[in-house]
Amino acid sequence: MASIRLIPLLQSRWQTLPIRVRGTLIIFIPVTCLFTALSAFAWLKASLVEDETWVQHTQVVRLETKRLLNTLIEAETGVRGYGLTQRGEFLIPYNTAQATIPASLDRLEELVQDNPQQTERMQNIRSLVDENLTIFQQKIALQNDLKHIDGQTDILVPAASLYDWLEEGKATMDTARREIDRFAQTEEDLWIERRQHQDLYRQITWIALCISGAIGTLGAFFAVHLFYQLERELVSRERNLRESHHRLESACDQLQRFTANASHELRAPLAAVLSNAQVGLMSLDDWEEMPMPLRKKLEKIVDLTKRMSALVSDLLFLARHEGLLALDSLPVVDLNSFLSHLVTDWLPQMQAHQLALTLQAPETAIKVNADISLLKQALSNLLSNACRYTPASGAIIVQLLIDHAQAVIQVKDTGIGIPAESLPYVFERFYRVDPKRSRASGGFGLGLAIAQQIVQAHGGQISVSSVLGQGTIFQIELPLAHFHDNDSLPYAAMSLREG
Amino acid sequence: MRVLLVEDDPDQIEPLHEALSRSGHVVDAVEDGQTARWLMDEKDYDLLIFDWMLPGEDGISLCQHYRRTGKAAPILLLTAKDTTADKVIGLDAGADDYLVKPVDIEELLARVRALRRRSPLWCGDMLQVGELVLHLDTMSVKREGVSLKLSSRDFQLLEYMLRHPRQILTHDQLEKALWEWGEEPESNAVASRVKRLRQRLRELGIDSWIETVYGTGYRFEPPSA
Repeated sequence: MASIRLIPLLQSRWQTLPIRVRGTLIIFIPVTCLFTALSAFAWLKASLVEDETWVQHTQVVRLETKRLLNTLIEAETGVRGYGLTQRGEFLIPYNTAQATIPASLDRLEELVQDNPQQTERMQNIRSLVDENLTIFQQKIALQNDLKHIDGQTDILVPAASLYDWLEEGKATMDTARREIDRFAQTEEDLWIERRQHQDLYRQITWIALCISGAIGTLGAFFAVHLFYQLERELVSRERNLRESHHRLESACDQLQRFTANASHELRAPLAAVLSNAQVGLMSLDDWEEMPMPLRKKLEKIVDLTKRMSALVSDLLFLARHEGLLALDSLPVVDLNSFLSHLVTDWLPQMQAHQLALTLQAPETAIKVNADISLLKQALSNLLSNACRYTPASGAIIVQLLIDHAQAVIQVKDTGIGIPAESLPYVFERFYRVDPKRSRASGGFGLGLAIAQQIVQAHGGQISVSSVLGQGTIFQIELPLAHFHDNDSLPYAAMSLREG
Repeated sequence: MRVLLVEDDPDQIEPLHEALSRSGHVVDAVEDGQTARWLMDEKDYDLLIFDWMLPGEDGISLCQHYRRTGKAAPILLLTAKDTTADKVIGLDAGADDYLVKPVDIEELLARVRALRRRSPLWCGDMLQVGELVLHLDTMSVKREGVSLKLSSRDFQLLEYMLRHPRQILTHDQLEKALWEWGEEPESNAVASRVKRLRQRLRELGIDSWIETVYGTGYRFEPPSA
């Protein structure tokens, strides 16, 4: 049950991983299999080599032991033969043994020094062999004494003493032989054990090789499967992207159709109302006595229709210019000359409201990538706002500067200001600081929203600070143009195009 | 001025028609592209005002067609399409001016006056024959310091006569020049309009300047100075 739940969990976990991680994991699977197989194989091979060494070693010990035993037996036989025959050639094996046995014992002791039990046994053997050799020596000495006596007086050696002589040392010799046999047997067992161990490891090596081969193959298949899955996922992702791109495009088309239709459908009735009311006003001129209330009402209709039409324009503008502009495709605008043209255009209106309008700009040209007509709209909205909320004989200053690698345009007025609690909302659509006042001055609360949307579409920011009763500062920050000067068109040429 | 006004919305065309007529223009108002095309091929206009979106044939292709026929009268596009791209398309199609709806009637009439001034046939804000001066913008007539405001119908007739002085103007000619398309004049309509104008001019002390040419029509014959 747990594993059934685990698989989808793993799958979903897998699908959330980034492609880079998944790709790395997919490559990691066969590579890990390969390395595991290689290291297992290397380890087993090393074990086999070690086992082989041990088997050889045991073999050497066995041979040496056999040689020791043979030498000892030959020596004993030789000594016995000498005792019976008194012939010197029977002593040759004994003499050989005298020379070889200590060396052989030393070698054996050295070979088994890694095995404490065998070492102990070896020491035992050494003392037994030494004892045997001593007995041999005594026997030969005794024999020589006898020969010496023999030589002087012909004493008959009794048979009984001869048997005694022969029997002497037999027990010691047997003990030594048994002990050597036991030693050899142990080595034999060790040899068999090591051979078995070696065979086992050989088998394990094969099995390990087969298993790692199988795992490697499975891993490769799994990796291929995961890779295909990843590819399918990428394909479907691409398809999704294409679909959403398509949807976005059609949404964009829809928006364009909507704004075109809305523009027509909203404006046609407004146009009819406006021209009918205005023609009505013209007809009133023909009357001998003017009915004033009727004229007032018609004028009101005209006024409201014009405002409604301005609202429609603003809303359509907001709907059309949502989203960021492609800054690189926009022309480079020299803000200094742009602002000086703008301020010149606004001077008559400001003077009509008895307001002083000035531009403060640095000598150096400040350039940004911008859509001129949009930027003009944004600044006009700020200026018209300043004009609307600044009492007569006030001042409005437009200031251009560079701050933190941004072009900054400030519109400062000495107007009535905005209460602090309203500041966060002034850029909201349809927000009015004082509804009564704004309605009287003809605003819809869209001007600042439009200005904000334009500035944001240019990748810039707009902010406001204000002191009630002293004035308001609107600040526009725009990213500076990347300098490729030949793109920059003179302002006059641009303004012609915008018509 | 003879004006062709094309607009498919009856609610909009009616006040525009009235406003232009009141300003002394003879207006042929039609509601579809095909009729407009036929009319502009058949008649000569001093000004054409097109809506963009029309049934049959749109305002842009009317503009292009008119310019292809080689006629030079100014065209004004009056449309709800308000983007810069639309304005560029409209002006490139041959329009001389572009106004976005809803348009202020005052502004429309001012634009019409401006376009008239730009016309190759333009010869000033007033027409003068002898000591009689007709102000085109105010539709008033003046003689020896006495000024008289004319109705648009009287103005249209006087303007036509002042533009064609000392010529015999037939009934048919006058009907064609002064009656709008689709408007059937009654049999004695020309005579009654001439009679009315003579009465108005008498207020300025002008008498017998409009002669009747029996069986043919009329002739504007100011006394030679």
